[in-house]
Amino acid sequence: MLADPACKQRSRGNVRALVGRDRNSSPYPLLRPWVVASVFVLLLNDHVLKASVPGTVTGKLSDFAGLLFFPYLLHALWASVMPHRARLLPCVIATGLVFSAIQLDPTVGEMWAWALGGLQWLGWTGWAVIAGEATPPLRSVSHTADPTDLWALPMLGFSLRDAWAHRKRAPRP
Amino acid sequence: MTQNERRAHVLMLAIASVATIATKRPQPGWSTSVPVAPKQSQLVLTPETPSKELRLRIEVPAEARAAQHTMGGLVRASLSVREWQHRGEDGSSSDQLTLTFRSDVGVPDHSSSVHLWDFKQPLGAGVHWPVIGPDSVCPPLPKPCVLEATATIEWTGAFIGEVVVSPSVDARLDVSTTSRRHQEQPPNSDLRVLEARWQDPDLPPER
Repeated sequence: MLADPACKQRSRGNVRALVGRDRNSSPYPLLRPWVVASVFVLLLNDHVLKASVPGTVTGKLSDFAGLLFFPYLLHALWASVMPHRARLLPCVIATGLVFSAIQLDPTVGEMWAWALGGLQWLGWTGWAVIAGEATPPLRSVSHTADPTDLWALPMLGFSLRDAWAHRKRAPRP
Repeated sequence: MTQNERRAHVLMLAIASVATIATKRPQPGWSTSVPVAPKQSQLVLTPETPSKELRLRIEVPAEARAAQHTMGGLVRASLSVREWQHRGEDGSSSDQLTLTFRSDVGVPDHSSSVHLWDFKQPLGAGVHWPVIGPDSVCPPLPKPCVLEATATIEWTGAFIGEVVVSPSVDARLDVSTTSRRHQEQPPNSDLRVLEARWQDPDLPPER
């Protein structure tokens, strides 16, 4: 089947799309390789490594991975609603500000914990409705404000660089 | 912009969204939260259903942790379980009570450095049961008895201590805390919040 040149071309396109090799031309920054990698690092760390190898490294790894991809995720969500108005730079700034606030201010951290808990509750409630089970109670998630997590802030440099490059390329009116 | 890129983008958007939302675990299923006044308080707690475990959670507020941490202080928290009465699901009673002492149940990237639980049974045979380390289960205790457990903790990060009483009981708890910036100095009143809550045993404890 792959002997067909057209099929080979499609297959290469699939791979490129998945790993983001066409990053300079792709309109989807969420597909950049390091962004994809950071998402899977976060998943692996939160759900496997933290339990099996608890410690400072696994405690911080999710913060580093999360700050790497979250601006791109925010930008993608924004673009899905307002494709022509979405900008990466405000997403980078918002990520930095919110992340700093939840690590420095326990009240903001509590609000963040309830917001995440509410989103999880929506997911579990949807699942319970489908499965015909009782809806789960609304709970916040575990969150501890930790100023040392701010060590991960330099990871925003990746998305900031992209945002800056995009701004320089954008046509001036 | 190809159809494949669009599909990959939507897939990645979904995965990243789920990863973000699921990055934190839910809080344990506390059904009752009773803040305790400074210094010393008494609580009478009754589980909502017999299957609930009594889980007393001693939590030092963040600002007190920070103040203590910078000064290398100690926190001393003690509690006693009195007049307990077994409440079995089938209405049966038990003459034995088991306590599990848990410590260092904070977030994984924080650590408490020293844990020492002293367990006493003043009305019994004078049991003195020091425990070092998390998840220590004391020997079955005869009924009736008055229990006193004392924790002295010096921490390097967050501290949350728990005592789990099993099987579920009606228990009267006396909770008191003192904290000392230095062992020779008088206690200060930095500790303001303690909570004793019932937890659904089906949910894992916060770790």
